[in-house]
Amino acid sequence: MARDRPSPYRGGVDHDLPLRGGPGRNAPAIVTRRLTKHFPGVRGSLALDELDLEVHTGEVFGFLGPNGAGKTTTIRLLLDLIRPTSGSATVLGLDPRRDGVALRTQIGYLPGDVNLPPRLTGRAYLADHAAIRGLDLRTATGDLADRLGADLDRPMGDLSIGNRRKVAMIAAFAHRPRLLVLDEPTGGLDPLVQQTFRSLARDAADEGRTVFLSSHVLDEVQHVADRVAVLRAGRLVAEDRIDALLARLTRTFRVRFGDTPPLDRFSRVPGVKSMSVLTGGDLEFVLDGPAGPLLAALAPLHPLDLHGHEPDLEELFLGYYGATHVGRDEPNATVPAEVVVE
Amino acid sequence: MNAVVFRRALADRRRWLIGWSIGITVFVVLNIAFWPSFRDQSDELNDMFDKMPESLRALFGMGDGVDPFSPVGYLSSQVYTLAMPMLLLIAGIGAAASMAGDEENGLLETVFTLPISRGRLVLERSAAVVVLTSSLAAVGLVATAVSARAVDLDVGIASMVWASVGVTVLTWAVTGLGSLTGALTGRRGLAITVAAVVAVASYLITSLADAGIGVFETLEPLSVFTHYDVLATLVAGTPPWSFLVLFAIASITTIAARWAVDRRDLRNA
Repeated sequence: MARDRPSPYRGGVDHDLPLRGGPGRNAPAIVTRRLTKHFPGVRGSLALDELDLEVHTGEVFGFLGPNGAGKTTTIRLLLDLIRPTSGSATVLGLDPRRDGVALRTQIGYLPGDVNLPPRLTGRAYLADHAAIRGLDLRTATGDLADRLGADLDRPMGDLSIGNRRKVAMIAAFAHRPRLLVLDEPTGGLDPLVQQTFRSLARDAADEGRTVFLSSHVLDEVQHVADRVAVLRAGRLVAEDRIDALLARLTRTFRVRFGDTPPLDRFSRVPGVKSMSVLTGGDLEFVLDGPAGPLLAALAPLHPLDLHGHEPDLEELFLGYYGATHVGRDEPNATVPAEVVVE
Repeated sequence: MNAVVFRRALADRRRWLIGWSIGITVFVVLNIAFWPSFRDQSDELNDMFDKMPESLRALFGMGDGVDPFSPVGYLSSQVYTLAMPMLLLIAGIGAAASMAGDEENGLLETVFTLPISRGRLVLERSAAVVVLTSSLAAVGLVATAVSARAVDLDVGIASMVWASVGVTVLTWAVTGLGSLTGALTGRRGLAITVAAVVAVASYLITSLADAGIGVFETLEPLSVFTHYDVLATLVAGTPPWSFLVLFAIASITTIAARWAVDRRDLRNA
C-alpha cells in the first residue's frame, strides 16, 4: 500500500488495521436498522422502507433490485450523501455522518452515473484523489490502469462511458479501501473488462475487504457475489446466499421442433412450472428445478433448437416468492403450472 | 499546504481569470483614455452637470461637492461606481455559484465521498473565489493606476487602492450570498439569481436614496452599495468603516454556507 504522504484531510483512523484477524474480525462491515428514507414532496416518496441489512466483512454482497427499488438511495445513505428519515446505519463500525471523514478514508465508491469533470484528464483527476487521500499517484494507480486498460491522458469529456467508468473504478480501488461500494459497476464495459472487474472484486474480498455491489442485472452479481439481497419498492424482499437464490430461480427455455408435440407430454415432467405455445409453434418452458428431466423428455422428440434466456429480476422474485414468503405485504406470487396457448 | 480542492478550483479557472483580466483591463484603459478630452472642457461639463436634477446626478454616483469631471469624480463615475463592480460581480457570482453547478452536474457526489468534510470543501471553494476576485480587482487597480498616470488623471494611489479594496469586499459580500444560496439549495441558477438581484437592487436603492427619495433612504442600510461608498473613499484616500460591514457579510455568509451544506441531502444529478 502506498501511504507515504500525510494528508490533512484524513481522519484519525488507523488505515492499516489488519483486514483479517485481530479484534472485530467478524464484525459486520455494514449494518442497517430500520433504515428509512422519505423524499418529501415526491409522489411515492418512500424510497427506502425500514431496511434491515447486514453485510459481513470480507464478502462480496450483491444488492439487487429493479431500477427505482431504492438501491442507490441505500448507497447514498451509507455514504452520508443523504441522511435517513429514520433508522440507522453503521459502516465499518462507524456512523456515516458523525464519523464521515474517518469512514470515507476506508471506502471506495464507484457511482452508477459516472460524472467526472469533463475537461480534466483521468491522470489529473486521480492525482487530486491521491493527494486528498495522501497516496502516491503512481503506486496507487499504475497497476490498476494497466489491468483495466484505462486512458488517463485525454480529457474525460472525450472518453466513452466505459472508459470514464474505468477511471472512476481506479479511483474507487486505488487506496485499497476496506469497503468497496460499487453501484452498477459494469455498465458500458466490454466483456473483457467486466471480467477484470470481477477478478478485482474477488481479489478484494479474498484479501478480507468487503464489496457491496449493487445492480439491477442478476448476471452482474451472480458470478462474483457470496450473498445477495433483493430490494423492491424500497423493501428488502430476499436475502440469501447466491447459490441458494439461484437454485430457486425459475429459468425459461424456448424449444423449436419440426412438428410441435402436444403439451400434455410435459405436464408431468418434474420442475416444469408452466409452459406455453408461442406463435410459430415454439414451446416455452418455465423451469424451477434441475434441467435434466426436461431435457430427457425433449431428447426423443428431436428438437431443432433450444435456448434459454437470462432470467430477469422479476423472474427471480417470482421464483423466490414461490419458495418462501419474504415480502411483508406481497401476496404469494407463485406462477401456477398452467398451460397457456398464445 | 495540501489544499487540493482550493488548488483545483483555481486551476479550473485559469482561462476564466485570463479572459476577465483582459476584459477588465480593456474596459478600464478605454474609459480612462477619454479623460484628456473631458479634462479640457471640464468647467463647461461640470456646469452642465450641476443643472441636472439631483436624482439623475445621484445615478452617476455624484454626491454633493464633487464635480463629475474632476479627476476623482471622473474615476468614480467612469470606473468605480458601476462598471468595475459590475464586471467583478458578474465574474464573482459565476464563480461562487460553481459549487452548486457541480452539484447539479453530479460532480460533487464523488467529491463528497472523499475523506474531506463538506464544510472544508465550502471553505476551500470560497477561498478560491476570494483569491480569484481579489486577483481581478488587483488587475483592475493596476490597469487604473497605469492608465491614469499615462493621461495625467490626477488621483492619489491610496484612493485607488482603497477603492479597489472596497470593490473587492463588495464582491465578496455578494458572492458570499450566492455561495450561501447555492449551499442551501444546490441550485446554480437560484444562487446566481439571488446574488444578482441583491446586487442590482442594492445599486438602485443606494442611488435612489442618494437622490433623496424617502422610501429608499429607509432601505439604504440594507444595500451593499451603501457600504461600498466609493466616492467618499476616493475623495478621502482612506477606507470607510462600512467596508467592515461588507467584510462581515462575506464572513457570515461563508460560515452559514459551511453550515448549510452539511445539513441537507446532496441533490441527485
